[in-house]
Amino acid sequence: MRHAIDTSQSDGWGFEMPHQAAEVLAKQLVLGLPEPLRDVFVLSRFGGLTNTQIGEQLGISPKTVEWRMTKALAHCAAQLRR
Amino acid sequence: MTSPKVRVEAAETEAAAWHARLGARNVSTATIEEFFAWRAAPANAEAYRRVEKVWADTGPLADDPAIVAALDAAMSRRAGGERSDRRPRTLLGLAAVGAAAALAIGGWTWLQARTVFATGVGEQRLVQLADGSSIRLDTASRIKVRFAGDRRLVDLERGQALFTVAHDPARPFIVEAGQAQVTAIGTVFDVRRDGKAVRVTLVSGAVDVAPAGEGRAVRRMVAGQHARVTSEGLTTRVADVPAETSWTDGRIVFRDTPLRQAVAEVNRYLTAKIELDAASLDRVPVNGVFRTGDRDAFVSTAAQVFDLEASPGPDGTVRLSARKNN
Repeated sequence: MRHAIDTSQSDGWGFEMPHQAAEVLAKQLVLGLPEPLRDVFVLSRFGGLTNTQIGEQLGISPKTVEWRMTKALAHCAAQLRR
Repeated sequence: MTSPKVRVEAAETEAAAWHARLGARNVSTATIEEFFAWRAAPANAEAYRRVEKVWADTGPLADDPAIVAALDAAMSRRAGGERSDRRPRTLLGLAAVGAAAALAIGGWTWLQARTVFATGVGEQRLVQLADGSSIRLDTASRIKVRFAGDRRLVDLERGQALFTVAHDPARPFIVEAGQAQVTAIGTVFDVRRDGKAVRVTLVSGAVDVAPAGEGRAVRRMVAGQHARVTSEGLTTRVADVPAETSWTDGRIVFRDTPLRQAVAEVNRYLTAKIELDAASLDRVPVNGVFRTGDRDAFVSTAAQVFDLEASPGPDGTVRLSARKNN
């Protein structure tokens, strides 16, 4: 008997998805973001900066940081639909 | 501009906003109820799962060269900015936290009498010491600080702490943690008490670790190493530094962590804990990133992925058990 690939698990959360594939896709999504969104996303996710610190770094308000972060995440998430 | 090919649905935008909102330090019950109501719509639940997936899948990318380059580019976006030489990656966050705390606490006077610092379950706290060192306390932790002329002594009585030690060769910084003694001169390291064992992760610099008693055979650790001290002695391995210090920015990182252990880890931050009642899944490896204290995200993810049933238990606990009719 062959082991079927359980797609119900891989589309759920990534516990079971091979790391490499999920990471490569995630990387493409991040690098494919428009620059203003990508800057905010990488500073928050990988730089560990707060919204206030990101705002200071980029010369924008914390509110704008928050909104761009939301848009960046939404944009990446939307691409996982396909 | 976003690619015209991809229509970002309202659900994704709302999901991303919820993700940010739920990541705040304090989330009110009303907010959580509002979130549940929103997520009751299947399309919203799907969108939220996708946002969580993006978050989790990007976690391991911190050391990826292309991502590091993107971060460097973002850090140097302002020409002539005074921060252009700041180092990216994990330490950047720590440095930023330290600087912010120094600003916030700068006006205070250090009280010698105040030498015991503790956190409750789910709390974190940054303690700034008189010598310029700082200690970040994780959930349910307690330290006692004793500074003498020739040494700086800190007792980690329970829990976990990240030490950023100000350089002072004349006064070694010594952390006592049950079975282990860690001596630093100027460095960043994490010490965690785990039952009877003590775990040390060295982020930068060098420290000496010695098991208590038995002649105190000292071992010099190098950056990126993880040491575990038990009554049997001391073992070292390569540390997963971002994962082991992820708690400092409010996240727990799992990399092939057995499910039982992942639940225990999440529970460290919860007063109303998760009870895992699915023995066959105890050792199943899980990967992902969760916010400390975000019980719901963990429970719903684990329930979904492993087809478990989440049901309320006594005292606000939640029980994850195998479905009966499987």
